[in-house]
Amino acid sequence: MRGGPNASIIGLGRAGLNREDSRTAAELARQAVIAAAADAGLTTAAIDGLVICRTSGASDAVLGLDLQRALGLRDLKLNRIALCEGASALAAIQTAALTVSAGMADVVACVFADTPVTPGTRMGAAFGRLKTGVGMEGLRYSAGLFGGASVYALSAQRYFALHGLDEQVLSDVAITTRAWAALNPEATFRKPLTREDYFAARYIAEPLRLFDCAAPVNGAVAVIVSRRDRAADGAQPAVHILASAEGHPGTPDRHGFDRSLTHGGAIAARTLFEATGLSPAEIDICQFYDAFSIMPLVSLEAYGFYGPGEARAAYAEGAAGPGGGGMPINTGGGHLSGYYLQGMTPVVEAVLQARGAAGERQCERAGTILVTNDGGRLDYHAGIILGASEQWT
Amino acid sequence: MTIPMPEPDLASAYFFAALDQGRLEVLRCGTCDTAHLSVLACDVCGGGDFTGEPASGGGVIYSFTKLHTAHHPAFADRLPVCGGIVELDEGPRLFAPLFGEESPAIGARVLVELLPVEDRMIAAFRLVRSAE
Repeated sequence: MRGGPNASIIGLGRAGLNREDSRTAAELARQAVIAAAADAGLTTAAIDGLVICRTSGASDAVLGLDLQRALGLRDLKLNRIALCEGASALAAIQTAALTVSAGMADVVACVFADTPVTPGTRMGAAFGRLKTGVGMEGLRYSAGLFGGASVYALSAQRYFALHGLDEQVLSDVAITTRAWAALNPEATFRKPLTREDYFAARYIAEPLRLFDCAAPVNGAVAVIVSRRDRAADGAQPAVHILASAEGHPGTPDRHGFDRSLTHGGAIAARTLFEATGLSPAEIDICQFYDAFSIMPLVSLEAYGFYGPGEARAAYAEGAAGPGGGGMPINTGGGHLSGYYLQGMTPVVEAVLQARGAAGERQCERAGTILVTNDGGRLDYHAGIILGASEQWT
Repeated sequence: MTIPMPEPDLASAYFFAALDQGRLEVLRCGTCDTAHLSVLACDVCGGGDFTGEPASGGGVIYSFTKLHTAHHPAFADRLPVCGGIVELDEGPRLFAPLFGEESPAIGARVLVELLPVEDRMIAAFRLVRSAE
């Protein structure tokens, strides 16, 4: 066992997380950092490092390094924008973890904010802004493939064709995830989703229907990362970062490869499990990046929980849902029914579960939690394993 | 309103220049023979010498979708829009509009049709009836 970074998440802050908030991303980010510091029992003056998560998918490009001034932070030892598309949140947390591990800063805030929703308008085009693009990748727009749903539809279609499956497996994911959201007061959609509701919803990009796609909100999330030995006397139970890893496959667009289904989790998993000495069977909960319902299935297989085409077993009869008897997955409702704040959504839920602070949806076993982030069309990936403090001292 | 066309980058400059002149071409690696569409260094052998050659124009659908939401005015009156990724018989894949009477399916045969888009050309693919 190689061990991971000497770092823990000691504070968690949220701002917004709804469709009515009209504050700017920069202001939401500022409020989330203030809330995260307060949650950790600190004032913002204790912060000596700042990492801002940026993605090209975020709607407000204004959020930048000047967040330091907006927060009135002096003498920072780290001020950085982490850009790794949908994997930016875990990339930022990894940067923070390594920095505090090396003693180069003590209290690092990582923050993501986005405001894709214009209050009072239709949701449809939240992430489908006009784009022309560059090079071969830009041809997707010429083919009409705007928005993340269009390219993840290609993954789902291919997954079905390879394994002889159909939309039923996606409906299992959407319905199970909604059952968790019903228990989360912060979730966007909390009304139980029936099989009929799922199939009656309109297609976005076949085979993906409305409830196969993330619920956009305006909001911000911040976490505070510190060294493990400092974390012990925090205001909250520390959540240890047992391991952190990235995996970016770079799969060629050519015969013999399967870019739409090749997931970087297969690369990151080796590092994560080697660092912790754990196996997939020893993971208590998974918090996957589920902007589209196909993603948890592909993630479960990449991480070795199931063989290719077999991950549906995780959701059979609602096994991954509340009281389902299987490994709980996306226990806050994920992106699908909870809220889409990119890589921070699964982080929030993992921290709450590890603290034992997840209320009605608290899982009995929450000692080891796998958290993942995905970006691009499965181009960029990061994963961490978090450990509850009482089990990993 | 016409459909959006990408700006060429360094790796795709040859592909788009040929396409705009009405030719679908692949770039064949001089060292290992791998065919590429857009390339600076061959990912198989590291080679850097490529020769353009005409593609057959035939291929199969790698994956596809029908879009039911228009994010661009050019597609607003043609929903649902069918697009996907085509694997050319030479091996490389590209995003492309798909059309034709046959239903799209993964593995279905397609044939290129070059369509003008203002002063550019796009490679769209028509589904062809299977031989069986």
